[in-house]
Amino acid sequence: MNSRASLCFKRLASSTSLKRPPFHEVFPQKRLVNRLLFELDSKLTFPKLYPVYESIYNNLGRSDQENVIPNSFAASDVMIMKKVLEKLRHRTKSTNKNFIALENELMEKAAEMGDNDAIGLLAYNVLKNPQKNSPEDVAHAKTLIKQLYQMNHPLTLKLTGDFAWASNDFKSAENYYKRFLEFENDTFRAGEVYGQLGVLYFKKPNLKEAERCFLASISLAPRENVVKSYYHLAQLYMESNPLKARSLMESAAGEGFKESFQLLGFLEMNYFKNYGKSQQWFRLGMELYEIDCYIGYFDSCVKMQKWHLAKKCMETMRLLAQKNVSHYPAYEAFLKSREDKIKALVLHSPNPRVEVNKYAAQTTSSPATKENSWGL
Amino acid sequence: MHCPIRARAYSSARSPAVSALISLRDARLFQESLITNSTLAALKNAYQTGRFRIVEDEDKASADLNSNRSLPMLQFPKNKIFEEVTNDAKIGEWRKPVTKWARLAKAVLKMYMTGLKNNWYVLKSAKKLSTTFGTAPEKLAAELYKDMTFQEIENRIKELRPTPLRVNRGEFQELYRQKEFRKIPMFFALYVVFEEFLPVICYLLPSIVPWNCLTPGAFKKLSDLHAGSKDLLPYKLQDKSVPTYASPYSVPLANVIGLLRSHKLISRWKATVYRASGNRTQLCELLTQLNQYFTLDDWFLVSKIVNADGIVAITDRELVNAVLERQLYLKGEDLNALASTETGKRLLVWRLFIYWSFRLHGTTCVGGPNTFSEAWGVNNVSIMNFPGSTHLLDLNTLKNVVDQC
Repeated sequence: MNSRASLCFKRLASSTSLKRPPFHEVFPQKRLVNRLLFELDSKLTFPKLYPVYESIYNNLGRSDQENVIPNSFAASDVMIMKKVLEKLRHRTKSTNKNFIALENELMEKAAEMGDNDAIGLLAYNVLKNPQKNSPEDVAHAKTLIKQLYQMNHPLTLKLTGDFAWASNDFKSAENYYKRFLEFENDTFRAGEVYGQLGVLYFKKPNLKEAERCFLASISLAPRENVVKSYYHLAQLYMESNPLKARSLMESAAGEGFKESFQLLGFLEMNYFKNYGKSQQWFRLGMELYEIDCYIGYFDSCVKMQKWHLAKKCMETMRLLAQKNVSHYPAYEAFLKSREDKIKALVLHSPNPRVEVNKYAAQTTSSPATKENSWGL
Repeated sequence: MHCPIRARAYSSARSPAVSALISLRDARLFQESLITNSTLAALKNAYQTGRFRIVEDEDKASADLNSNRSLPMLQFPKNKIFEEVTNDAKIGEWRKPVTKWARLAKAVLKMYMTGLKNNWYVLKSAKKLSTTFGTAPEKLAAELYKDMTFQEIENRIKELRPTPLRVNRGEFQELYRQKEFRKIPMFFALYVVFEEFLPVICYLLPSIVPWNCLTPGAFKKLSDLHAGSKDLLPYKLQDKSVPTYASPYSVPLANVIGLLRSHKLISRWKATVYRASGNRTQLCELLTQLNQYFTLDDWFLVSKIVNADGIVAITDRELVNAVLERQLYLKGEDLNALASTETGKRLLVWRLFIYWSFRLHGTTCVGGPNTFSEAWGVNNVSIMNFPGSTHLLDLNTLKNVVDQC
């Protein structure tokens, strides 16, 4: 009976491991990983890291896993391995649940090895969801954070700021972020913190200070990490320097920041008078069902006299407003404000053969006859 | 927490809030405009009570608003000198004709020397400013415009009055006028070649003369030339009484080049190169800068006049220059002669008031609820140098205005 039960367990375990695709199939190419390692200023190389990644990946979910991390690895090296996966996630804008598990495993291992960053992150993960953790865990997490905070550990200061931000305590968040910057002001993470501070000042509003922070943010951190800084900075420059604003907004759009599509579309259409380009931006926004982008697309079609596209766009908008009630006020406002354009649209049928009567009624006052058609 | 930046006027879903024209047809209609346009009323009040005045002497003018040294003279000293010599008993009668011309020549040479020296001082102070703020003079103007827009947004939310920017209007104007220094090498070369005939050359070719060395005659020639470019202004292309939004990129290339040439922002050869290459961006950006310069200068002056507690005084030279730059005059009008009489001065002041009231009514600059861009749209060039009324105020319609004061 016992042997049968253990056999069942083994089978179950093996079947779960089978669900995970083989590591070599999912892990990115050597070149990309090496680039990420270079960005992270790591002393380790791909050949050294790959077997470690693979063994941890293969042992995921097993309680009896042996120590797969070589003795030569320091806690910070394990954190770098975690950061590589994190960067990969940001860059590819996709998440793989197995890699998330791998990230968590690496973080736990780094914490066990005494990495303060990992300890801080784990402790804050516990505090974020106290109901999912036991009271002892929560109390222990608080103690750890207190200790780290007293040590002026930069990441803990940032995480405390994030925590205050999440609970709408912006004043405290600002203080924690400023303290973080006293200890660390030239790293990727500082770039992110500058971005957060910028948003704070933007909302206050203290726009001069916000501009300074956003500029610092985009100069320190890679674009994918601080896309909001690009977007907000573009907003700041929109009145004084639309050319610069466009370039910043394009950077944000390049990272798939959906709010930027409609702004770029309107900017191209109404300011730079580049209707073709504006249509492209609107089309991207329309794929995400942004109602403003539909309106912009309609306008640009009318300006370019692409009547059939404008008609199609209006029809899609009507269907969208029917299906989604929240879009209805915008649709109604659109109908009211574009009354003259919609009337003009009726004159331009996409298929004149079908609507020949309509054309005849609108283009001539009297029907064409043999006598008067050539005016001879 | 507020959302500091509202939806822009370039979003086609919203049209900008447009202020109404000032009516000059008769006194009653002007009175109505005074009631509906609080900015016009505030400006009128400031002028009537003497809180805003035009002065001849720079010492009596507001120190932070004027830069007389960078502007040309209003009256040629010929009559004054001749009269002095005629009335001088110490000079023998037989010597007077020669003395008159000798003194006039001396005065003209002195004027050129002072003008050149002032050009140097203006350049020096502009350099000092750009070193203090770490940017080139041209970029500093753009920075100031950005500061102004930031301040407008903040003031709208916090409901505050405008506060001074990092430089005052006098300094800002000197930053703009320092480019006249580039004319000096050519001017010296001409002096070496033509010596005492230089004034004649300057009269024939006034554009080679640094701005603050211009004689009133040469100034008149240039102002007539400048008035010719009014037809290129974007509002002239629209068939509407109140101009609708037009971005710098919507203005035809030929008009952009013409306007930039008229404001001396590009040289002839550059204009030819741009026209041949069809490169719009650089030219449209220059037009944007010109438009921003006007907006900023209006902001400096009007915010001071409307919000200052004490007396605000600008010199007659600054008045003439402001009217000239904004093209608020008719071809053939002698601005210097107008500024030399009380009625003429009043006419020029009221032209500026009507222009400002139309542009700035309802903006944060005069205590309104909108920023300038919200009211008119981002860099709206259709209101560039728009007089604010259907016709420019003249001596006939001035009585409709004066009746109300």
